[in-house]
Amino acid sequence: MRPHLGASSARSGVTRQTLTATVAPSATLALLPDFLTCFRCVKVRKIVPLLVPDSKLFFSVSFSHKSGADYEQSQEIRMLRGGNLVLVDWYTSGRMGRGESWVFHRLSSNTRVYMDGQLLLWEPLLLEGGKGEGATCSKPSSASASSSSSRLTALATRMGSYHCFCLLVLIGPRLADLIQQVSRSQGRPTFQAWERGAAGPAEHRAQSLGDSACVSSLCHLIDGTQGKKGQGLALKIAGKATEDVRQLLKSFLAPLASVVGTEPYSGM
Amino acid sequence: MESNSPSTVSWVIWQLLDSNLPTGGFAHSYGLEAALQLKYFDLQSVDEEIRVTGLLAFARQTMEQQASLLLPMVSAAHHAAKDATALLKCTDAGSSVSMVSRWATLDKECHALITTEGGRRASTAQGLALLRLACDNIPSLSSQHCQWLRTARDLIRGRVGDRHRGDAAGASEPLGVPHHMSILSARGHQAPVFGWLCQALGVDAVTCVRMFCYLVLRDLMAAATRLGLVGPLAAVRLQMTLYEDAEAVVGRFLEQEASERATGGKEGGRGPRQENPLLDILQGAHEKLYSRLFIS
Repeated sequence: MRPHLGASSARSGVTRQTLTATVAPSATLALLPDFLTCFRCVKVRKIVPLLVPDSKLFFSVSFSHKSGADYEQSQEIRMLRGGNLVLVDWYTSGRMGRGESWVFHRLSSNTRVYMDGQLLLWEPLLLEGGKGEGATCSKPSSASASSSSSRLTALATRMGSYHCFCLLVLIGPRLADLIQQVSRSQGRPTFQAWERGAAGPAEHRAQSLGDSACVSSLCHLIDGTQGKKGQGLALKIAGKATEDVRQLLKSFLAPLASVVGTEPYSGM
Repeated sequence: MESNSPSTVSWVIWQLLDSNLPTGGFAHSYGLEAALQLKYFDLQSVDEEIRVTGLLAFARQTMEQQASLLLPMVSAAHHAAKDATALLKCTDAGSSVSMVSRWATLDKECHALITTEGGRRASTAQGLALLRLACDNIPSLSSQHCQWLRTARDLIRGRVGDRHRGDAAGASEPLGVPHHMSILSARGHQAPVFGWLCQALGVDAVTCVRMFCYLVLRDLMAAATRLGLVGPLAAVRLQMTLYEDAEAVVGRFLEQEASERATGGKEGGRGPRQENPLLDILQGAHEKLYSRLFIS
């Protein structure tokens, strides 16, 4: 595995992180970061000393609005056949304890996963403050931001009552059991379970999406052979609270303890 | 009358948008059925006004999502086909390889972008149907474009053949595809096929983008009617209500594309974006429904 990680805070105010990694056959790359939280705009108070002619010192207090978080992330994972990948990429709506909910300026995350040079997964996420959001935080730097005002539906409306979103990618022969396990957990709920809300995984128990703590969607990334599902999946999860998603990740990734030495997301 | 004269193109546009065109668009609900069963967007409300408001909100979000994610692929295919057409005028030899190779790349990108099983099925089913009918049933297509369509179809068939053989590792040469192109494979996603075919038929890029949005809106309203959310007459009225929003969505896309093309964005155009992760998950949740009327 040859990772290359770069981070920069350019003068434009955009924070960038770039990760490029190559995973060799039989190697395993596990990217298990904490969740990403972008903040809202902050009111910056500046105290400027002023010297006036009669030699008395005055302090001038000025307020300026600094734009909310503007974050760009690029992840490119190039795998060779036989390599293994566990990738978790999750983010929240903001500092929920302070009442922030999707009020940052911009969150851009471009994730690409290749297998033997073939593009398997491309997730070009872009979340920008919509109508009326961060209205006091003018941010003229980005070209795309200028057109966000013409979007029909504001970001907070699009995200509904969900505050944490996660992308989990599992690829590789070494993870075959884990992939099957996650895949099975996403199976269609039985009619009885759906109706009575009495059985099955937590996300299946609720009667409606609005009541569910977590909702998820699974996609197989590699075609299976002879009717079996392939050795690669992408699972997208939306949770009402960060803790809901963390619990799901913890339960899904517990078998990784033998690979990474500890149970992921068990000690947060 | 010339085959690609403006007057002829109008007829072609109407036919491509006709609900009678057998591409299977009406088998897909863009997640509306899942939203209804999972009681999202207030679609199960007994109050018709609330239900209609929810449906309009769902339609707006779907249009925006499809525009941000797939319109770039439609537009890229349209532009790539334009370049390939110019290439064909210079030389025939080898140009079909370049054309198919470019289309296959867009097809792969489209496959990697759509991360719901149902969405992938819906996209490939409609793309394949469009390709199939275009191959043998559009007399106004130039012989070069016909050749490209047949090669593209063979490429997809080769892939399907491998799948049926149940041995992806076996990966023998796709049926009917020349040896030097056997490393290519394709699935036939709708967006690249649609963009390419529109260019081949002389439809301009802006109209092509509007047409794609119209198809989304048309299929969505048809699904709403079949799911019993609104009656057929109300669906007509609501669809007309949404044209202003659809035009805003298209306008925003074109504006961004022009801006990114000027600043040298993705191959001179606007790259795809996932701007509605919750709707994406909702569309994926269609797979978990116990009883389903629609494929996706």
